[in-house]
Amino acid sequence: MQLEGVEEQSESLEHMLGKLADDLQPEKLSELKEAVYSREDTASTYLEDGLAVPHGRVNGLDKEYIVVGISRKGIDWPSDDQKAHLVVLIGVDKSKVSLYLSMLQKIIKWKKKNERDFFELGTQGVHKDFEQLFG
Amino acid sequence: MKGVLRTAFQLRSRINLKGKRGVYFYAVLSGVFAAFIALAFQHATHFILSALTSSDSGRIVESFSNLEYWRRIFSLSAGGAIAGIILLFAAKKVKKRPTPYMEAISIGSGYIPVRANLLRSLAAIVTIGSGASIGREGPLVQTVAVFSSIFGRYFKLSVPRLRLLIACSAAGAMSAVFHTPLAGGLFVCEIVIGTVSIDIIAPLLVASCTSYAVLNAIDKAAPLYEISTAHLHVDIKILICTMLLGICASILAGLWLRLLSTSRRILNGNINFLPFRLILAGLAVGIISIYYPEVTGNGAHIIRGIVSMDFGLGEISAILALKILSVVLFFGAGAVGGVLTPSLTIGGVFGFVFAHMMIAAGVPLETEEIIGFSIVGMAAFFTTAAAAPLTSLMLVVEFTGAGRLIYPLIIAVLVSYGISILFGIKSMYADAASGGIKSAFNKPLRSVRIKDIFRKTSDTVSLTESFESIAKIFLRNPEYAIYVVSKSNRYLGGILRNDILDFIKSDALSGNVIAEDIMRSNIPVLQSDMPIVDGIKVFSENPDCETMPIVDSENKFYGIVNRSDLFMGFSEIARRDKLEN
Repeated sequence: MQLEGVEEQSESLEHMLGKLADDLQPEKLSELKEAVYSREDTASTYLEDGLAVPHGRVNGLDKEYIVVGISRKGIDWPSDDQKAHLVVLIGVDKSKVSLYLSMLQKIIKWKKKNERDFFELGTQGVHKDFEQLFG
Repeated sequence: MKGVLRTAFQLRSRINLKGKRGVYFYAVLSGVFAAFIALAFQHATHFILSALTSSDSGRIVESFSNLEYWRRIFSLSAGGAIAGIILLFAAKKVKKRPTPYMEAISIGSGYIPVRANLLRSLAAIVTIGSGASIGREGPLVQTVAVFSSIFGRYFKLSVPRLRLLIACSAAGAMSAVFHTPLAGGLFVCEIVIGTVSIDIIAPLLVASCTSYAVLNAIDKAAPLYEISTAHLHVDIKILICTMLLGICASILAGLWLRLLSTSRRILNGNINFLPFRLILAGLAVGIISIYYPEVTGNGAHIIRGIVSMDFGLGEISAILALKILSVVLFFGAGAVGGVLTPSLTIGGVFGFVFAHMMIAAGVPLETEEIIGFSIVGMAAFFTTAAAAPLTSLMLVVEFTGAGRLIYPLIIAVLVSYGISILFGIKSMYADAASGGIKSAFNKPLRSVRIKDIFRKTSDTVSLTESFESIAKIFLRNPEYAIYVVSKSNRYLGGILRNDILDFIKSDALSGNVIAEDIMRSNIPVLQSDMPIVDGIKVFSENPDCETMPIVDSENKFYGIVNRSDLFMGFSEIARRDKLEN
């Protein structure tokens, strides 16, 4: 999704979590939201080179959820004093630790390969790539 | 590459030294270690002997036989004085009391205070080297056990594992002293631990055989008293004589034990007079040694003498009486030393005297049968003295090589054991293995808690610990899990090895993942005050869990417990509980 016009981290997270409203039951969405914010409180999920991977692990998620957001202007990621241009929100079941690590590894590798090309790829292109990555 | 790493990591996990199989690594190490300490101990006693007697033979009786009379008295008294001063210093200046290794293994936590025990070892080296009528096996095993305890505690071994490590080193030391690998393992199993089961005896035998192999590699470890001439025909005459010998040896052993405890009670009084008591014991035995130098040392010379028929009946009877007196004097005065070899000597001499009594009573016996009865007497006597029929049997067979005597030996040992049970004779090791500090292993099963079996571990991480650090901990120490705690040490969850196994070398993840991302909060947790039986139940309900975290009533992280440690501790305590009830 395009995150143009969004400047704050919390706003971007709300937008992205909102995308999951159709797929998740309200209580699961609420749990995921709480987990994502809690994780952000523990330590920033801003990784490197404009990439942030906010995530939450919640009991009872039937599958893994990914929402990708792009912002040319960048979103303030407060604790790191950096701007995130690519934000990938992940929601996985609490027991699926290996799956989470595998997803994160793929995302980081993809980001390294594409540097800042994702702006050129556009939202559609990034989504296509991620669909290929995660089936 | 990933496959290779996974295989390497899994291989590393298989040789996890804190896991179930790790005990065999420690057993081998204990055996090597025990052999070297045994040699060092022997050299140290030889050095003292050489310094006091100017003899390089290394044999106490031989050295004393060639010594001027005054020097015999001087050597024993000087040894007593020095040992007494060391023991007095230890008693006055070292706060912690010396814990016997038997206590540390049988009922203790595996903790053996270092300074107090090493000072006792030093005193023992001086006493034994000066020619005192006492065995070296006790202090030697104790010395090896002290170092094992230090080693085990350094590596933060759990209580059951630390005790097993000390037991392995004790078995290795016994094997090194007597050149008896099987009896070394049995000695610790039967006498010290009190139960014989394959999971306990296997590592003990690994340790004792390793020690024996090392000793053989350095110096030939032949049977101490190899006897090829002993024989007892299995007929009704020999059978009756053997049973009679078993009864008499058992009764005599009972009297011997009573004499030892009485001498300790009467002679071993005020600690301030300990050096004087040991000087007096040295003086008395020194005077006896002018006429009978055989009373010095542990009695090995006498055993060699009877099996080669060097002594007549009158001479050996006098030596037996004076040997008993000498051992009682030193033991009663408070000398540090073993009474195992002296007990075997007395048993052997008694068997020899018994055979002559049979001849006098009209039972015709050949020379090889007289030697045979000496060996049988040795085993029967030690069976009651140590309350250990299996050990007695194998000890005597191994160090005499008299396998042909196995049938009469079994008969005598069984009869002796039966008599000791009938009269309720308390073993000479009973006090050493039951006094002092109590641990989980001396409690009834129902009152043993999880915290009694736990293992301290430093492998905890905070919520924000990086994936790189966590991976390093797993690579260094491939445990089942690493546990996550808060700043105030509250337990938060665990990171399972298998969850991150495939990513352990991932550069992409190393700085980008923290403990919270990979932590599981649904790992079963044990309460520190939970009865051990309930812990077993939790483990049974979670068959995949190798270890579990332990928390206290405030949910603070207390330590971890291994499945194998818990089951090992449980089975040992349960067996003992069953035997005692």
